[in-house]
Amino acid sequence: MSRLDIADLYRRYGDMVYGRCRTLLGDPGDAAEATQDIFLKLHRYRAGFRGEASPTTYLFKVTTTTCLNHLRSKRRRREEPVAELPAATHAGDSLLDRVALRDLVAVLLAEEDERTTAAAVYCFVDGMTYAEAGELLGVSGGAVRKRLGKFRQRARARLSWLEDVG
Amino acid sequence: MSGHVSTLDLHRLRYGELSPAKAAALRAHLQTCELCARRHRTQLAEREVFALASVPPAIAALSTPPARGRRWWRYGGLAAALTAAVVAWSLTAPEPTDDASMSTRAKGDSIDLEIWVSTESGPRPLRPGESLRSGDTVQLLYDPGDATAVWLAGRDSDGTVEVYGRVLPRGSGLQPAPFALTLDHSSGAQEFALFVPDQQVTAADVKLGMAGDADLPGRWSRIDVPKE
Repeated sequence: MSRLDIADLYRRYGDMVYGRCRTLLGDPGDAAEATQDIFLKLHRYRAGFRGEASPTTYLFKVTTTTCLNHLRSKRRRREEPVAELPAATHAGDSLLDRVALRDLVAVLLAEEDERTTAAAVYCFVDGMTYAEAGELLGVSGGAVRKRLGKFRQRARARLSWLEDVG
Repeated sequence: MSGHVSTLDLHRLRYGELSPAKAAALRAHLQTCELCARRHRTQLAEREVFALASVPPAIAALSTPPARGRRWWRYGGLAAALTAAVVAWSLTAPEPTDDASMSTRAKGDSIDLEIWVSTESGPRPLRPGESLRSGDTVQLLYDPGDATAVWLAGRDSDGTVEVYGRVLPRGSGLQPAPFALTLDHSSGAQEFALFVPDQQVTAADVKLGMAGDADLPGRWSRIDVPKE
């Protein structure tokens, strides 16, 4: 088995990971720190990574999970008002503008579980189909549809644009 | 669901991970959809900016460029030298010895590190001047002093470092690390080290410190052992 060169992977995929972190975390410093953490984790768990047919998909999923966990723990630590939490979040290459992305992330972190949060980000921010999001989450597309349907009902009053995106 | 290309597929298009048919369909979409074209341009712009930045030292430290003409297992470093196999210590738990002359032992400011090796009759401390051999199962014993966490690491004769991990001691006094190492077939001196940091550090920091590329605040205890 060939040696997995983390620096090479960083040069190749680092921009994607960093850009994703910037989109979800907003703050460039937080994004840089999260990017480094992700590659250090990749080195630690490299045996699992070697079997990935699509490194991009694997890193995209890991980066999303890492960023959402980071935002969740940041919110817990600071006990900030929900509306102010992702104030620095920028739209990056997502389908949403900055305000919509900030509002969505705020509602998700305040009221939804981890899987619903990830599903909403994949579908509303990244424009994935239910099936594509389900593939990343390890559930069926139908399960994602059902989960996000309930989320829509709960969030409709606060996120008026939700129907248009979904 | 939105009629746009997903962020992931835009990335996969850049990295050439899509089937030719899907890639062609996405490129056609980018010709007609200004929103997706802009997102794609954003990704490409980030790529250009990123390409100018250097690799962070902590990540660069994890990557050892192969030396010309060397066989893969040589630059595989200690991972190869020690088989990279951390195995359960299946033998009787070693009892620390009080007689330093009987064991290979390093002493730092206030911490000790000992090497034990498994034998047919049970584990015993490696004697001063004794060599390790391929296939030996080695256990590190350490005394953390009053530290609440320590790091254990090793370096092979090529200078390649592997950090075995961060260990939480069970109080003070000499005690076995929660793993053992099975040695592979490479030869040359092997160095084992215990590091007690004065502040929070990462595995990448310890790796740099072990290699002599960083001066970490803390105490080191090191042992050099010849290997046949």
